[in-house]
Order: sequence, then structure tokens, then C-alpha cells
Amino acid sequence: MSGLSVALCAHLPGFDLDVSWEIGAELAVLFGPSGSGKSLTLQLIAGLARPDAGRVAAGDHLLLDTTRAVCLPPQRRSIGYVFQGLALFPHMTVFDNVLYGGHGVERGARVARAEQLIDRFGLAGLQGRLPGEISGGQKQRVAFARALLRRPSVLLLDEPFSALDAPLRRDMGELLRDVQRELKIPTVLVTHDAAEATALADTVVLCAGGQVIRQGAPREILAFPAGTVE
Amino acid sequence: MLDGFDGSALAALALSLRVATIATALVALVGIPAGYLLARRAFFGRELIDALVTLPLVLPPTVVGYYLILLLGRNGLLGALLYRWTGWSVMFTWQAAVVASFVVALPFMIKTSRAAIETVDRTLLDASFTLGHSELWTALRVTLPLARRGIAAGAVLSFARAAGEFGATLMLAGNIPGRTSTMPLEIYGAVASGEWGRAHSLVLLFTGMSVLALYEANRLTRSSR
Repeated sequence: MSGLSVALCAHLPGFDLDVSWEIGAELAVLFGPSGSGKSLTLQLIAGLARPDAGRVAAGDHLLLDTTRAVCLPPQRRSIGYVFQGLALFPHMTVFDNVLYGGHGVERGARVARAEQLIDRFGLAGLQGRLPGEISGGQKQRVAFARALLRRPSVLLLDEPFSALDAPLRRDMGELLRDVQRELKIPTVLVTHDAAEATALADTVVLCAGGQVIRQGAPREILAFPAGTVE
Repeated sequence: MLDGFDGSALAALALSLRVATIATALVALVGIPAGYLLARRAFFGRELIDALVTLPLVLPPTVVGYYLILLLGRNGLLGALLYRWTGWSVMFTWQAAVVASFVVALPFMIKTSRAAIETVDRTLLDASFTLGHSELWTALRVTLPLARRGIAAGAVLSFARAAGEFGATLMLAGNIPGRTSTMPLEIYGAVASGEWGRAHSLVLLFTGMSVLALYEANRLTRSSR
């Protein structure tokens, strides 16, 4: 089984998170209003923050289990993470940013893969530019390529498309969908955009106030208000 | 204008440059890692340590010199051991001038590098960690390159402070012409013995050097934004 199972409990000043869900090698959308703990959940899965209690496993790979004192550092979780602000390194070129994602990959293969991803994501010709010199959509693709270079076993995306306009969002969504179909890894996209969730998700985890309200297919979860006809 | 600019003035200039260069290199070696730890690690007594290393900034240099004598003098805590093992004492050598300059210049490096490192976006470090890179590698490839201008400015300020060190140097290294008399000591000596022309040229030269250093430090910090 190559899914992702998550059970997390974290108490912060003024906010309690208590979530539990499980997905397969599919594209899941964490959907909910801002302040519902979606981003925090991703950080806890990636090991960037520590929960008070919980268990996270990617397939057979145990990432966190507080009852057994297991808590792998983010470096050893093999998770591709696309940050809300993208977090591109401003002093590195597009090519070096992508290449930086190849930790542990042999040098020749790393360069070959970086070139391949740059081509695939339509970034050819921009290799020598700095992040400050390319457009928002292009930055998006660089962050995406960087996160994929190591062939992670899980992909997490924290509202990566929020800064883009509608047509670009659709393009990026389709790209994400294609990539997920190809890699067949558990992929979690955080969004508060219902249309995006409906268009992309295999499964939707509905969150509010630090809790999971429901989980299921997008049609069941993102039901239209009573009285409207689909 | 450069009357009285003789061999001993040149020797003082050369000595000052040597002392300040070595002291700055040591300051960078100690100060950058210290600034990094103070910026990135939360540990018990962090602010106390910050205050302690900043102390030479506010203490009179003679007080710093006094502590250094207690530590490194022939009967000092470390100095006695050193003398017993090697028969050598750092007192009244040019190396003592390096030690004095190092101690008074170190706070500049630690303060500026800590501030520069703290401004680096935390998310960039998280990104590096999720990509599998260790904290050391992240520091070398992400944190320090992004903080480099602030760190360089700290090095320039340290160099200027090291080159201008007087009080602690006088106490620890003395004022031995050709051996420990750096520019500031040479200027003091020139005035004390009424050689105004000599003092004049030395002072002008030193002022020019300092203006250049400050200009460079400002340029580095400004363009970092």
C-alpha cells in the first residue's frame, strides 16, 4: 500500500488541531477556510513542526510516531514540498534552484533530470535567469520542478496557485494532475478554492476549525447548496 | 604634507595592516559561526552570551586590556600555562596586539552577522531541509550567501576597529618602536614627543583609511536591500 496516513494532534496558543485521514496514491485536496489548520497539517507531515501527538506513514515508511518516539527530520522524509510563497532561492539561477532539489542523486543523473524537468515544464531558455527575473507562473514551475527532482514519495502543495490569475491557475492545475497521474504518489493540495478542488481532486478532505469534517469524492463533499440544480 | 613620514611611520603602517588583517581573519572565523548560532539556535543563556561578547564594545579598552593581562600575562590563567610549556609569553609581542584587536573587534562581527542571518527568510531554510539538505549545507549554500553583505560590512567594521585599537594594545603589547607600535600608538608617541608634523601626516593617513572603510561598509549594507 503506497498511500499516506495521517493522524495529528497539536495544541497551539488559541488553536487546537486534531485531524486524522488516509489517502491512496491519489490527488487529495485539503479544503477549508483559512485558519482551519490546513497549512499546519502539511508542516507537521513534512517535519517542519512537531505535533504533541500523532502518527504519519507514507506506505511502509514510518515518518512519525509519538508513541514509539519516532520523528524523522524533514531531510529524511522524502517529501516534495511546494511552499505558499514558493521559497525559491533568490541568489540562485532557475537551473541551480532546480538542481538544488537533487540531493542524494548522482551528479550526472541530477543534471540530466533537471534538464528534462525544465523542458517538460516549459522553462527552456530561462535556465540562467534569477527568480526575480521571471513571471509568477514560471516561478511556480521552477518550485514544482525543484520539489520533483528527487522523485519524492509524497508531494505536498500549500496553496501554490493562490498568486496566479485564473487561466494560469487552470494550466498549473492541469500540469499538477498530469504529473500526479504519471508519478502515482500520494499528493496533497491545500486550497480554499472550491472550483479548483472540484476540478483536481480524487478525494477531498474537508477541514474547519482544526478538525476534519468529512472526506470523500469531490461531488459528495462539495455539494451544491440545496435548491440548485447541477 | 608628508614631512616626517619616515621609516618608522611606514613600519607602523605595515604593522597596523598586518595586525588588523590577522585579527579580522580570526574575528571572521569565530564571529560568523557565533553570529549564526545566536541567530538560529534557541538555547539557555543565549542573550547572556550575546551580552558577554558585546561587553568589549562598551568597556573602556584599558579595562579590556586589564582582563587580558589577567588571562594572558606571565602569571595569568592561560599565560602561566603557556609560559611553563613553551617559555614564551604573548606579552609585549606583536601577537599581543592581534589578541587585543581581536577582542575589541569581535562584537562588531557577531552583532552584524547575527542581524544579517536573522533577516534570511525562514521558509527558504525549511525548503532546503525538505529537499534533503543538512543544516550545515543549508548554512553554506543558502543562509550565509543571502547574509553575505551584512557579514562583509561586519568584517569591514571589525577591520577598522582592529586597526584603530589603542588602549588594550598599549596594556598588553606595550609601545615598542618597530615591534608593537601600531599606527595609533605611533601617533600618540609623535604627539607626546612634540613631533607635530609627523603626527599630522599619520593622522591624515589614518583618517583617509577609516573614511574608505566606512564608505565601503555603508555601500555593502545599502545594496543588500
